Amino acid sequence: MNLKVLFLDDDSYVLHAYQRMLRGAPYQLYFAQDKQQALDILQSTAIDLLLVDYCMPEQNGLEFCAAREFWQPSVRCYLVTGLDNQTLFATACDKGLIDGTLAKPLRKDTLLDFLQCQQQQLLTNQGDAAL
Amino acid sequence: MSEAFEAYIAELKTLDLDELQSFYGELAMEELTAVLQRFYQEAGSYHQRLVNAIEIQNVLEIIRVSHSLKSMAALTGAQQYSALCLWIERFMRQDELDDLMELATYLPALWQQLEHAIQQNLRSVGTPH
Repeated sequence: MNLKVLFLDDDSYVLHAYQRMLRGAPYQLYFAQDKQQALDILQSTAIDLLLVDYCMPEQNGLEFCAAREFWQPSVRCYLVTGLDNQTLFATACDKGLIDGTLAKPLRKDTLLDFLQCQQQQLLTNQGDAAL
Repeated sequence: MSEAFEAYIAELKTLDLDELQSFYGELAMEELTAVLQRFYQEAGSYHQRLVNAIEIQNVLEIIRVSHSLKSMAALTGAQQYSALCLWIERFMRQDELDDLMELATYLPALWQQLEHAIQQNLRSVGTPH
């Protein structure tokens, strides 16, 4: 089963970059440029992983993730950010708002390694659940 | 402050295509062209927004647009321009308006250099139809 990944970033240039980097990769990819698009996808598709930009105009990535209780609880959320605010992000992890952070801008090899780990984790979890 | 910034960008390139390739992985020539064209179009409009926001000292817009431009430029290997946006964002977050206004004087020249470097690259590889 392929990992279903949703990218939320208000910059279309960055979304296109992810799309180009991951062309041919064995994942189902979804892209949203605003909060509503992302919510529509989260409510209609069983997304496994959300990669959300921190700095966005309507609400920041953490504010968006604060509503994660309304999505499928199994969605793992990672904040993609160029900001160096470890205290804020560590607190958000402790509160369960996000599962971690990734440094922006992302490189193709970093992204592929990360997604491979997530895919592995998904398979492990599914295996555990089946036992 | 100007001297510090100039020292900071002295070792950086206007447009580093190796850096771009390190972000995207190996790109075919036509993909590279498409990336540069997209950056030129999108960053161009953001650049204008940043210039306008600085003119009217719209703090939130300056932070938001410089933050976006910083990432877009870094992803494209536009090292000097990305560094300028990083500094602008940092000074604005620290509310250091005088330093920001001094830095803003670099915007037209660095953008022009970047524009020239992009166009030169597009000309050398040929523009896809």
